Parts: sequence; C-alpha cells; structure tokens
Amino acid sequence: MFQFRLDGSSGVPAYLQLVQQVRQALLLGYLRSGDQLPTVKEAVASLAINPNTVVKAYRQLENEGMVTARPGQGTFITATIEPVAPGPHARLRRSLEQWVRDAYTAGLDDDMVTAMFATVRTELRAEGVA
Amino acid sequence: MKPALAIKGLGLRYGRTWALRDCSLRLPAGSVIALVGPNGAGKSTLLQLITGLLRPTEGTVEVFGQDAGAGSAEALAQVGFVAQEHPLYQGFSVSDLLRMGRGLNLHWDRYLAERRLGELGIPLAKRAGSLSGGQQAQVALALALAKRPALLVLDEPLANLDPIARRDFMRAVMTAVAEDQITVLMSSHVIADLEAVCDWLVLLKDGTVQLAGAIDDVLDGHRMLTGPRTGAEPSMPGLVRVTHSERHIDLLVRTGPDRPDLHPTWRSQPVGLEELILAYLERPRETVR
Amino acid sequence: MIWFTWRQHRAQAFAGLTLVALTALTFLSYGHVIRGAYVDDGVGPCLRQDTGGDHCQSAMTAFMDRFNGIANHLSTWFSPLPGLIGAIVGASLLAREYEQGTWRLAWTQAVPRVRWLTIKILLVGAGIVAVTAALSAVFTWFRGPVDQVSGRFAPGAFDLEGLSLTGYTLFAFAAGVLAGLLLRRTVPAIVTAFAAFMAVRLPVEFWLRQHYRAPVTRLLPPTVNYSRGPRSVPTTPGTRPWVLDQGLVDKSGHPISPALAEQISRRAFGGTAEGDAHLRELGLHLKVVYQPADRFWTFQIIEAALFVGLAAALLGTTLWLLHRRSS
Repeated sequence: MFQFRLDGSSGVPAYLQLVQQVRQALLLGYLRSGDQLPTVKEAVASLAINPNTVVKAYRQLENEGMVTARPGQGTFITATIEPVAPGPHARLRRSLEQWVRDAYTAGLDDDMVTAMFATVRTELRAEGVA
Repeated sequence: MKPALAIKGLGLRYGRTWALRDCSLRLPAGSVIALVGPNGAGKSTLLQLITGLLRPTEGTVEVFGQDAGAGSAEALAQVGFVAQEHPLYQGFSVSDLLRMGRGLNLHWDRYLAERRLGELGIPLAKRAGSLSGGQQAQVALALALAKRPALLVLDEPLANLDPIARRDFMRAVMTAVAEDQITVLMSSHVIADLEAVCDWLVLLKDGTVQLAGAIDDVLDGHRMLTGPRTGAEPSMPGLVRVTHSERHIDLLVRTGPDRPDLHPTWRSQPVGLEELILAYLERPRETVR
Repeated sequence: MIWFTWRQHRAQAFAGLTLVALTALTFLSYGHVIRGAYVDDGVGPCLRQDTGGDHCQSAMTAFMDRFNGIANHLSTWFSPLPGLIGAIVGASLLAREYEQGTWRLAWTQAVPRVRWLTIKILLVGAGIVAVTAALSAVFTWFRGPVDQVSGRFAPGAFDLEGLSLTGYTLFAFAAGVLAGLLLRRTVPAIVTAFAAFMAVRLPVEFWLRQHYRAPVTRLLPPTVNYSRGPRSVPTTPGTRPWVLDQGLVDKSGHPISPALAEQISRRAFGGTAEGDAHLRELGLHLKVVYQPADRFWTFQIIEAALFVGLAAALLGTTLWLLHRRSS
C-alpha cells in the first residue's frame, strides 16, 4: 500500500503535498493504474492530519483525472502520467545546462543559482503559469 | 449548514477585568477549529464557557442549539472536553475511570473506549497516576470520546507531550473526526501543531476575536506586498502589519475578493498560516479595529 | 454517581471504620473495668437511696476519684475529633478537585455540578452520621457508670454522647466543603474549617448551652460540702443535674457576705453533720441553680439542631455559590 509522508516545515499546504506525492509516484512508476490509495481513515491514522485535507487532495486528484473513487471500496489510480518524452526531455536538459553554465560564468555560486531558480518558479506559479 | 457553535456577544468578567468581551462566532459543524492566541488571551476562558464550566457574564453560547451556559445534562452530554494537562483521578485505575464515565454520562460507548485504549496498549488495571503523560492524555481523550460527543473541545492538548505522544494524540483525534464526523475545537499557542489538522481558525487576543474563518479563505484573503521603502508611513485599508527593512517594506494586508492594483515596483505574494497568525498577534493593541 | 462517590471516598470510609474499631476495642475493654468497680463498690444502690449515708459518700468518692479523671480526659482527647474528621472529609470534596484540576473532568461529564455535589454531600454525610453515631454509642457505653454518678451534662459526656458528636461533625464537614470551594486548596481549607468549627463550638459549650432552657432554682438545706465539685453531695436524687451555680444564701435569699463565708470555711467542725447543723442555726440555705438531668435529650436535640442547621446553611450557600459561580 502506498504511504504518504508529510513535511511540516516545507510551507507547502498538506493537501498539496499529498497531491504532489501521488503525481511524483506516478512519474517514477511507483504507482500504476489500478493501484489503491490509502483510505481516508488509513491516511488520517498514519499522518495524524485532518480527514478533510485527505478528502480535498483526493478530490483534486480526481479532478485531474488521476484517480477514481469507487464508493465503498476506496480510491484507485486510473491514469498513468506519461513520462516526459525523450525528445523534449533532452532539449530541456540542454537549455538548463546552458543556463547554469552562464550563471557560473557570471559569478553566481550554488546558493545563488538555487535561489534564482526558486524565485522564478514561485513567481511563475503565482502568476498561474505553473 | 447548522453551526456547531453559535456564540453571541459573549463576555466574562472576573471582578473588574474582562477575560473575554464581545465575542461572537459561528463555527461550522464537521470542521476542526484552531483557537489560537498568546497566553492569557482568553482561550481557556472561552473553552470553559463552551463546556459549561463557567457561566457567562453576558451573551450566550449555543452548542448544536443547546444553551451551554445552563450546564444541563443534555448540554453537557454533547460536549467532550479534555482540559489542560488532561486531569484524571490519579488514584483511579483506568477501568475505574471508564466505570466513572459510564456512571456519569447519558451516553457511553464502552466498547469504543476499551478498543481505543486496547489499540494503544494501555492496560485497564493500571493506576492513572502510574501512566506516562502521553498515555494519560490518551485516557482523557478516550473518556471524552466515549461520551459520543457532537463537539470535542481540547484545551492545549499537546502541551507537555513529547513528539511521539503528540502525533499519537492527534492521530486519535483525527481518526475520530474521520469516523464520526465530530466537530473539534482545540486551542494551542503552538501554531505548527495546528497546520496539518485544522481547517478553521479563530484568533483571540486580549479577550477579543481578531480573526475567524476557514483557513483557506483566510489565506486567500491576505497578501504580502513588498515594495521600495519611501519616507511616508504607508496607510491603506486592511493593513495588518508593516515590516520595514533598509530598502524595502513588507505590508501584510487583508485584500478581500479584489486584489489591489499595484505599482509595478511592488510584488504581491501569498502568506503562510504561521506568518499570518504571528502578524495578527504582534499587532499593537491600539491598531485593533 | 453512587459508585463514583464510594470509589472516591472509600479510603476515608475505611479510615472511619478503623477508627470506630480501634475506639471500640480500647474503650470496651476498659469499660468493663469501670463496670466491675461500679458493681463491686456498690455505687448503684447508693444512687438509688437518695443521698445515702457516709458509707455511700465514701464509696462514690472512691469510685469517682478512680474513674472520673479518665472519663473526662476523653472529652479533652476527643472533642477536636469531630472538627478534624469533618474538616478533612469536607475539604476533600471540592478542594481536592480544584487542587488536582479534576473538577474540569468531573463537571464536564453529564451530571450537572450542583447535582453532583448534592449527591456527594448526601452520601458522604450519611457515612459521617454512621461513623459518628457508632463512636457515640461506644463512648456512651463506656461512660455509662460514671454518667450515673456525675450526670450526662458533664463536658465529656454531653459532647460525645447522644446527637452532639454527629451534629458537630456535620457542621465541620459543611465548613470544610465551603472552605474548599472558596480556597481551592486542601490544607488551607482544612485549617480554616477547623478554626471555624472551634470558633463556634467553644462559645456554644461554655456560654450558649446553659441558656437553651431557663434553669431551675431550688433552695436546699445547707451543707458545708456544697463546694466540693463533682464529688459533692447530689442535690437531687438520682442522676446529677448540670449545676450552673450554687451557694449559701441567707433568709432573704441574698448570698452570704464574703466575711461570713470566710468565717464558715475557717471553722473546724467535728463532722459534716455538725457543720450542717451550724449552718441551719445561722438560718442559711443552699441555693442551687441547675439544668435538671432529665433535660439531657432536650438539650441534645437543641444543640444538634443548632449545628445541623448551621451545616445546612453552609451547604446551601456552597451549592448556591457553585451554581452561579463564574470561576
């Protein structure tokens, strides 16, 4: 059975952490179509979180088409996220490599690179792009 | 939805000082409500008014339509209470305490209490005083839940507990919420304890309610605005807190549904729960209201 | 609620039973000695034959010399007992709940707190009545023979026999309950309740009690023995009354002058009879002011009613305060 984890200090809302973990597990192939997610009660008992949070996470996963709730049975994975196709994957990686190289050339250190990446990501997310 | 708690104009005075004043709240059934505030803000007073331990000086408290101030058996029966430091009769064995609960209550789910304690491996024959703090808290919780209350009130339930006992305690509370859809009202001054478990927030300071609402709505309704520092003291409606840095200034504002139009040099960001709560608690008294 | 009360107070109940058992063991065995002497010295017949002769006088004097001291020590040892029992048990009702924080557990079950306290008061009060009644029975039996001679109004008798022991304890209990509500600490509540108990109990014994009924005044033939306290001649047949005042008076009923009293006490008589004859020649009488022995139960009922009434008032106040209490 799939196990959720919670990181209280991450600042990411709990329901979002659950959603992301399912997404990630799908990407990595740890979860496959037909697998059952923990019931709300099981998730609550293992994480000590508000059941409404679990319900909210499952509802979002359902809206995204990743899971289906079968009344009386539980919540099941119905989709597999296609891993990123090899072509775009290689292209993205090359451009990121180029960017990091430029950054080091410009004198940024590791922390500055990470900070800039995080800032851009947060801002884009706030704008609703990501 | 029918409110679990309807509080109107509630106040309590000790001698000449008001421990709580002008408190009005409607808390939805089925939610897990965090009651937050600094020590001495009136949290325990409010909880004791809700559990009928205190009689209000003014105003009313209704728990699922029953007047809690009257202290009637019916009103008491629908509220489960775990008081601060989860008091138990230290000389009683756990089974003595369960027998007491059965004798002193209108409804009593003996099976539920015994199953809960059994799952936790707490022996019924042991004296309450010889149990660990975490186990005592669990016994107090089992007593409160065996009443089959519609509302569970917890006063600083996690204080004095080690991290494992904290998690076990909240696990038991959240399982009860998942199984029986009870409403939970818990006070704490440790905000980190509450983030994962609560979906409603009541913020109390100096005996008055500063903020109350669903946590998602509250977070949506606040923004952190960051911009260049100018000479003038900023003023705008809904300003909660101003933080000055050397060259920039952070404004925490209550925005309502419309986001304010901002000059391009300003940046608007969402606010985390802890930061938001701290901002309200740090506000000096005179800027309240 | 009955089981809960029992569970909370069972240790006190066992202590109470132990106290009764130990008291019974001690006093019943010693009581046999007194009873034996009472029969052997022929005290009983002497009491029945009115004042008796010189033989009876010496027999009763010997008996009282031997046992009156121990019987009166009883009152010294045991008169604080009702105050202590009552204060300790009473304070445990509320002060202990406040001290240990368990009031928040007890009063958030589904028994409203006024009902909770009322039931506890009734049950614990019944226990107190049972224990104190048993103690009273032991003391009454133990003191029986001495009471035959010195009367049941003697301090060691009146305070421990009949209803008064129970009344005192209930009063101290009520004071303990109220002090517990107000002070919220066990030891201060016990101390306060005990002090309040003594502050009421002592004035009642030494001042108020003699006024329950108007005393009887009688003029008797004079005797030089009148001032010899508990061992003086009985002024009435049978059980001795509670003598409030006695003294020689002249024909017109005025107390004799100090000079005359001095003169009488200095004078050596050949015997009691000679002295008494001399007093008669002077035309004196012995005036005795007393509460008759048969008023024992009247006085017991009045005193018990007083203390039980005070207890009821204190408990009523406690319940009222608890009902409207905002802290």
